Order: sequence, then structure tokens, then C-alpha cells
Amino acid sequence: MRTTLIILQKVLVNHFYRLNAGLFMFLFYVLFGLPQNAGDFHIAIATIIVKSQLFLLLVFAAWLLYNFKCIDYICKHLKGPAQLFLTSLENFGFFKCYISFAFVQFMVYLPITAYSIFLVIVALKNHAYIAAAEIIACVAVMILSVPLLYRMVLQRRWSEINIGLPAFIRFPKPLFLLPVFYLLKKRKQMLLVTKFFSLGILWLFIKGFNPDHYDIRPTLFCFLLAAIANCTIVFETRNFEEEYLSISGNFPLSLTRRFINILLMYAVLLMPEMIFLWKGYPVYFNLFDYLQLAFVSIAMLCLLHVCLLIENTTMETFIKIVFGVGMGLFFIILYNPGIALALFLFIIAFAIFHAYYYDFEK
Amino acid sequence: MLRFEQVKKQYSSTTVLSVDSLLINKGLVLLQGENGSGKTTLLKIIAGLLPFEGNILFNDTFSLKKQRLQFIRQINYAEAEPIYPEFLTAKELVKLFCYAKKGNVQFIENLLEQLHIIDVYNKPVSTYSSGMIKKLSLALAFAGTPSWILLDEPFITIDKNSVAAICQIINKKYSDDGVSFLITSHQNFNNENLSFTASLLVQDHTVKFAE
Repeated sequence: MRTTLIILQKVLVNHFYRLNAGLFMFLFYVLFGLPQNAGDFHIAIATIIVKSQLFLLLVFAAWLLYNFKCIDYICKHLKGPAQLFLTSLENFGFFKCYISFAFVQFMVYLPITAYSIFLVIVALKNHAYIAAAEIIACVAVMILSVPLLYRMVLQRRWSEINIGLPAFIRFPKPLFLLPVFYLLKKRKQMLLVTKFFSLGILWLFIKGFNPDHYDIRPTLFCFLLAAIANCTIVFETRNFEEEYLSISGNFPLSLTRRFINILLMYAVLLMPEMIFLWKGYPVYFNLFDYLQLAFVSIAMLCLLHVCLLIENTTMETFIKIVFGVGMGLFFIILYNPGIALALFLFIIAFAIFHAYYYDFEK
Repeated sequence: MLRFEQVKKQYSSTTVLSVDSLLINKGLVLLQGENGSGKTTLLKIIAGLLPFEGNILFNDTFSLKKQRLQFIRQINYAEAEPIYPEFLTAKELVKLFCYAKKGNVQFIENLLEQLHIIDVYNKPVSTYSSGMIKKLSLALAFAGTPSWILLDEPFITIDKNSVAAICQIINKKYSDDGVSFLITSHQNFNNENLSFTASLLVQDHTVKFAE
């Protein structure tokens, strides 16, 4: 049994954390790097959560999204040809097979379990016993029910979470929108989680920051932070292009046209954030500055996208680039560069694109 | 015609293909070679999908390096093992290719009919067999008005009737529109339906005319 668990740990769990290292690093930075006094901040947040059923429900919704992400990953991985040998787990019988997958689920769900223990302690200290019981029940259900799904996947009786539009609703699919459709069809959990966090950042900013005078810089920085949260989407998009759209290199399209396609794609992908931001109008930005916010964020994602055309850019290198770009922009924003920042980013992105697009080879 | 000038393709420091000078005149050209000899690499280079050293000229007018767009307009390519986004239907792919290549949708639909896959036209390619995807990619290679169509192993994974249908389509396109073909095969090719005008051999990391 121990050997089985070690194999599952190596094949499923370790790969999951490697794949999502960027997301966890980003979350860690947002949760513990940004607040001045992280300890007090989190205890205050946890107290609000355990005392309000509405907030508790929101937290459960976020945990459910994370669980969808875990389920999506494990199911996809289990179906892969390299994992075909895992069907031998069926020979163990129901109980041992269930325990093995419960271990996998426990391990990938560990960040939530750890946070839920913290919430339970805070709830008990505040005598919110019902909230504590609800948290324990929620985590238990999420950990103990999912192994049954994994077993069904192993038996090829179930494939994946499928939430999509009815087949009769068909949108036109121009070349620049294909990565967006790919994310909607094949990476919907990741897309949902990413948008949840990026919109959450904007919501927290609008709720928590009350400026005494008009200044676009905090809004710009916050909006860029929300856009940076989309970095995993950028990585997925590039992978998709490389894997499925390589033949488009044979399309007679100029480099400028191809670059415009990337701009349009990120304009569409950032649409939820751009619409949500209107909640902050006119306190946080005026109409002209809105254009600046939109262009800078699109240009930044384009820059991150074209950085992936540079040879040997792994996920690890990419995360470093994301942090570097984020930090660099933070200092530039302090000097209030206005729309020039967007132009500057577009020019750098296009220069990299021009230099590397035709020379890129996986 | 296609003129190769000092074409070289390397991976790390290993040369996988080196063609000092080669002129391929228009026609039905067979490109043969063993597995891993570099046939696909050569086709991908001509199709503009792989970076390389040197240059390739179309009709001594357009250079792949300098007039890339004009060059690419003359070249269509069908992969040996095509991969398309699973969620797209054949109809959407046909529209996409015809839009990019300024082709006629009706024409491609007729080809799909000849290849007996028109009944799955509105279904996502995830429901297709490998043979059906291969047929779709071959039909898509005819989109627009190219001067050359590069077909990488066009007859693998498809049934006998479809091989005959594809040969018929190739012959018609060649005789009616003067479109040239560069067709690869890793086996000794013996098909009475196609009369090749020239035969090339990829061997020892270079390309030469077969004797």
C-alpha cells in the first residue's frame, strides 16, 4: 500500500504542485506579502468569515472552485496514456482503491485543509460552533466524495467536468479567438479560478481603498495586479498555440497582423476585469485614465506572451519574468507615466515578437 | 519552381538537413526517404514553419526570408499527422483556412464530399478518427490558389478508395490549374494513379534527384 501511495504522490500530486507553482506563489504573495501585518490581517478576515454565513458561503464557493481545478487536473492526468498502468489499482478492490485516491485528493486539497483548520480555530475562539462544524463538514465532503469520481475515471465510466453551452449555440471562431475558446472548453476550471482571483483583487481594492484625492496610480497598480493574476492563462495560451495552431504559420499573415491578433485576444480575455472595474467609476478613474488602464494591462499581457517566444522559457523562468515585469511596472507607475507606459510596453512586445516569432521552435 | 540556396537546418550543433543548391521545377514531385531522413523537416521549412539558414526562392522572384508573405501565399501544406483544436468542427476549420488563404468554401466542401466525410462536417474534430482528420487536412491543403501544395505522407492512415479519390483530385488540380505538388513517402511508392514528373531522395542529410 505504501508503495502505491508513493507512486500516486509522484505521478499525480507532485506534478499538480509543479504545474500550479505559479498560482501558489502568486497567492502566497497576495495573501502574505501585500498586507503590512499579515497575521492580524488574516485573523481579522477569518473572524469576519466565521461570523457571517454569507462570507462563509463565499469561501465555500472558492473552495469548490479549487476542488474543480483539482478534479479537472486529476481526471485529465488519469486519462493520459502514460497513466494507463494505474488501472491496475482496480485489482486492489474498492476499499484500497478508494483509500489511495482519498490520499491523492487529501494531498492536492492540502492548502484548503490547512486554511480550514485555521478557520476552525478562529471559529472556536469566537464561539461560532456552527460555523466550525460547517467548515469541517464542507472539507470532509470535498475530500471524501471526490475519490469516488477518480475511481469512475479509472474505470472509464466518467470523463471530466463538462459545463458548456448547448451545441446549437455556435459563435464565429476567428483565429485570434481560438485560444479563448480553448480556455472556455478545456481549461474552464483554471479560467474560473483565475477570474475569481483577479476580480477578487479588484473587489477588495474598490471596497477597501477610499482615496481622499484623485490619483490613478493605486488603481493602475491594482488593475495590473489583477491582470498579472492571468499569467497562467498566458502560459496556457502559448502552449495551445504551439500545440494546435502551429499550422497557422503557413497562413499568409503579416507579423503586424499576427501581433494585432494577440492584442485582440487579450482584450477579450481581460473583458471581465474591464467591465468589473466600472464599479469604481468615477472615484477611482476618469474616462481617459480608463483607456490607460485597459491599454497598459493588454500591453503587459502581450509582453508576457511574447516572452514565451524566447528560447527555453520554462514555467519557472516565466514566473521570474512575471515577477520582474510586475516589479518593474510598480516602480514605473510611481512616476505616473500616463499612456506612454502602454506605448512603451507595446513597442517592447512588438520588438520581441518581431525578433523571435519566426525563429521560435519548440 | 523552388530554388534552394545554402539551406541548412541544425538542432543544437547537429545538422539534420543541408542543401547547398537545388532547383525543383514545377510538376508532380515525389520526395522519398527513410524515417527520420528529414522529409518532414524539408516540407516544414518550405511551408515557413521552421527556422533555417540560407534561403529558398519561388520562381526566382519571392524569397522566403525577404518576401515571406508573397512566398507563403504560393505554398500550402498538409501535415503527416495533423492536429487541430478538438472543439472545432470541420466547417469552422474550412472557413478559417478559406478566410486565411482566400479560398472557396464550396470547393473544399466538394472535396470533403469526394472523400466521404461531408456527413460529419458539423461535428467537432474530437469525434473524428485519425483517417478522417487526415482527409480533412488534405482537403484543407487545397484552400486558396497556391502554386505548390506540399503533402506529407498523404496516403498513410486512409482507406484504399480515398487514396484513389485523392490521386484524382491531385491530377485534376495539376492538369487544370497547373498547381505543382511535392509529395513525401517513406516507402517505395507505387501508385499507378499518379505520374510523377520528378523524384527526389532525402539521404545523408541532403536532398538530391533520384536516378
